Amino acid sequence: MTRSVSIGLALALIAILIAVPWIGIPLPPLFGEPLRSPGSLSLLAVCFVFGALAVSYDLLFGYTGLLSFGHALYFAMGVYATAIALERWHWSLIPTLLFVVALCVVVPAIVGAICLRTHDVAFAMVTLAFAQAGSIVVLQNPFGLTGGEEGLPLSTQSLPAIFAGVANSRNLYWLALLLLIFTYAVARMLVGSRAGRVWQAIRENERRVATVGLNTYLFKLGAFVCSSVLASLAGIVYVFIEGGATSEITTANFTLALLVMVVLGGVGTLWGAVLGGMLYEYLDFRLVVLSSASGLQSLPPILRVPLSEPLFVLGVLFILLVLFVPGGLAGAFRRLSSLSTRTTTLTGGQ
Amino acid sequence: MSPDYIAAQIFNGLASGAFYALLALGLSVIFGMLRIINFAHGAVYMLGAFATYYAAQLLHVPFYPALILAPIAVGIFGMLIEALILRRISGSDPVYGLLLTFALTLVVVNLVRLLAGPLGSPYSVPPSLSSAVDLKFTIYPAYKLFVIAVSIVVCAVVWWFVERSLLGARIRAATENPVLVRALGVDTKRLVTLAFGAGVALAALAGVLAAPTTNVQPYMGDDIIIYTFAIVVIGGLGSITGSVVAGFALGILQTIGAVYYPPIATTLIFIVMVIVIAIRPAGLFGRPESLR
Amino acid sequence: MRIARVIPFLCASAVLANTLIPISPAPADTAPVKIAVITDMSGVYSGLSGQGAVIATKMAVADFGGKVLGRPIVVDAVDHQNSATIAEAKAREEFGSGADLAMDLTNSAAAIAVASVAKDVHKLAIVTGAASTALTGADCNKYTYHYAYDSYALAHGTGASVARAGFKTWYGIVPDYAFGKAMLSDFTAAIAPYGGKFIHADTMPLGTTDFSSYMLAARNAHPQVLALLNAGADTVNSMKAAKEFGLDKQMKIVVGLLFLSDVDALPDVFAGSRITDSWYWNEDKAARAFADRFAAADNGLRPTSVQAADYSATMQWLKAVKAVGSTDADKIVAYLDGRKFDDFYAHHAEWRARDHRVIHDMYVMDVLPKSEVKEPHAWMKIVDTIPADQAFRPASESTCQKTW
Repeated sequence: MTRSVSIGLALALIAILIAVPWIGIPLPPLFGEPLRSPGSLSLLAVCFVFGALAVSYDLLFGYTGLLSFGHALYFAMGVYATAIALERWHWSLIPTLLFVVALCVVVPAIVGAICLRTHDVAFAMVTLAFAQAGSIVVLQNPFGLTGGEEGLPLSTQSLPAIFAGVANSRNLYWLALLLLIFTYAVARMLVGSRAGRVWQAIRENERRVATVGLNTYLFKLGAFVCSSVLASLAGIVYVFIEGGATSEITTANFTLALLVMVVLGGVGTLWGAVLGGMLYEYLDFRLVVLSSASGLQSLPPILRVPLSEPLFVLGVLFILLVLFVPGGLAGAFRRLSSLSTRTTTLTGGQ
Repeated sequence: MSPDYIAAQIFNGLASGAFYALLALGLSVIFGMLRIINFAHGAVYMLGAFATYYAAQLLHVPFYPALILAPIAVGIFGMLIEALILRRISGSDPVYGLLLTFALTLVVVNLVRLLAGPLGSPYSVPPSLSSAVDLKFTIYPAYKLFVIAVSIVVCAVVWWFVERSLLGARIRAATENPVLVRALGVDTKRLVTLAFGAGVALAALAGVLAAPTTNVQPYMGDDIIIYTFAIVVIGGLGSITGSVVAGFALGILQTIGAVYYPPIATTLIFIVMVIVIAIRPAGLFGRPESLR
Repeated sequence: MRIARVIPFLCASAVLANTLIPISPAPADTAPVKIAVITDMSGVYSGLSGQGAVIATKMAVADFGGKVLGRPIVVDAVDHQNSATIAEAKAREEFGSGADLAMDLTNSAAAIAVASVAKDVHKLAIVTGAASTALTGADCNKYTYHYAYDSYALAHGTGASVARAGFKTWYGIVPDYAFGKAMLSDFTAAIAPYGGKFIHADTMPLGTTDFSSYMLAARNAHPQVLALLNAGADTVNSMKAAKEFGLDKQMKIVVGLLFLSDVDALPDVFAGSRITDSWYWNEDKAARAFADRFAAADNGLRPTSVQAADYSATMQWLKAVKAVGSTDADKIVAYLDGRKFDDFYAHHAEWRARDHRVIHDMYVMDVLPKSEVKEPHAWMKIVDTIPADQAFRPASESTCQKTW
């Protein structure tokens, strides 16, 4: 696919996505209500946020090869820092945003500096330990700040006016879309830069990069901080969409879900991560509804009962994916498109 | 706090360490042979407990036979999984093994939940072990002493097997250099399957031992798996001695921590892990090459 | 050729027309009245609420006649999978597509999230399955009612009843999260007037699965009461550990939060413990009549207090809708606030206006040992009744910042 064609397609896609809040087409069974209803827009917005989050994780894991089990921590930091500043300390929007971004540069820098002294499995475990610590801090509700396991809802005074209320669902939708485009653009730029190329080299063979004279530790730290900042930005938008913070985003299961999203979409391709993130979140919400669809109800119980359980279906799908489509969606797409080019050369070159 | 009380609490620590040791041992064996971080280890532990429950419910199998039959049954299930699914990704990026075992956990846990319901299934301590033993310094539950004894014996047997027997030597060699071992005519594929089955059986044995004193429910593996990973990292991935020593030691440490300062009890394992990794990234007994 | 050129134009104008013409919903006077039962259908709370909650709600709708204000009544079953994020999104979806009431909301985090949505869209949410007193405290709002039990009521019922019987020294097993800490402070306050106090109450860190060390410590401390203020699998694990160390023979065991569904699963584990709940299926003739009809619809299972509360709340809401002549939430709140009522579930009840806590009698019960259980599921024996005006946090002590 030539460059100008892919840019053209990307722009057309973005235009369509921007226009969605005006499109009233109902799309059952994909969405419960017409596209422009608050419910569907809210679901799409969350999917965009998770697409952006998956991109940030792909930067760390897919491009630099750093398997972190604690990436959810920085997303959660973005969520909780924003919610606490707005709701508990009653700060206004701009100071809150500045505070959150500053926090999410400093903390990953410190934590990364510690974790990156280890490699491979030990690195994964240490990042997990920090994420566990963060989860425990949130659940213990120190000074009544985090709301513990009950969560921290934002009151209407705390939310900025353009995002408050059901009527403004479309503003949240566009905010989430903006986040996704911004995150993707930044990631693309980073990956194409010199630093990005060093990251990919580190993923392939860190020792060789070190022998060339580059400080791999600093480059890895840079990847760590950049991906964490992007994750925290996703967290800020997420708080506005959800109207508050909930503790389930601090769990180890959540980071594992991130890993699933990136592998689902295809490791090391940014648009694959977007697709993986959006698809995973969409399935998480809709699989329960789809499982009560009438087609399923007519199956014999031995098939119907397991298939009605979304997590079971997700697990099976995932096993099949890893076994048969290891490159994820992006890999499958590439193989399909290379198949079609092969046939054209076969038939065309007589 | 009297010395008698502390001594009794140390026994509590040995009892909980007994579980950690068996689980960490299984995880280490699997990582050593397959280079797979087995995320399904908690699910297998749960299967061991449920196998015991269903064996009692449906087949009227009492506790002692279940102690041998359930791990064998779950071990065979593990070998099937290895041969049919895990073998296909051997040699690929280790993250696929991780993801595959994670997906297996989703499937297994949810199937069990559909079968048994999300709340607990009843299983009690066998009458022969439900008394308390007078240990001079305290009256202590007999069942816990039994658990400690079983775990020590099994760990010792596994250690002897891996370090001293011919099959164990072949397994260790196959870990170090699979190509050379195959060239010498040893069927490494079968060794790998056997090792996976053994690791799974060890986790299932922990599950059988847990059933009388823990709530037998589909999610029972979720909590314990994270501590098991931390303990394996502390002991050294792939090291038999490391897993057993770290398992018992951290069981005791965690319990004593709970006695003096409860809030730290669950985070203690992670704190120790971070400290150990900072000093020796390969773990206490691990070899640095084993991380590749 | 010409026709082919026209096709894109036709398509474009179709899309354009579609976007410009607003979606017109069915006119309000014939659209069905929708109740969305949002709960945990398959996880740890599915026995307490789950499918049974939907059955109970549908029973209320059928008993009411299936129609109100000339409009049919529809019940939507929604699974929030114990995720507050999913609950929030589903609530938005349901309210957006015409639901007039969100019911049940088992799981405190999910309930708090949906309460916030209800406030946003100006529609009612009635919580029957969550324990958090924040719903009538820091997170109270005009469009949410807390109907069945809460942690204060559970603690005060059991605490006062046991302390009054002379059990003065208490040992607490408390998990280190909001629910546990709330239970501890409520129990402490409840037993104090009768001379009771906690000689020891460690907060256990989250993720504790082995309670042996705490049980040994409890045995050494020789209290008269062991109070297990945790929930779910933690309660089972601590009960099993307590029995292992012989504590059930040495002291009274009190469980903070326990329901019929828990005892149905593990009757031997909980035998002998004392709890508080808002209703028991065998408490009187009216309750039993409902339980028999429920059992016919749910495979012989007896209804839990939460499922009975769902029936009761649905019936009360439908009556309010009929009396007010509309499903408008503001009008219904104005009608319900301060109203007293009495049905098979809620005795001496009132929709308290101060903080939207629905008050009613609560019952202290003992879990019977197997030998004393006379029929399937008859696990409990009521030992005490706490009148409505004493069962819940007094209105004067409420922390709700009432903005309506």
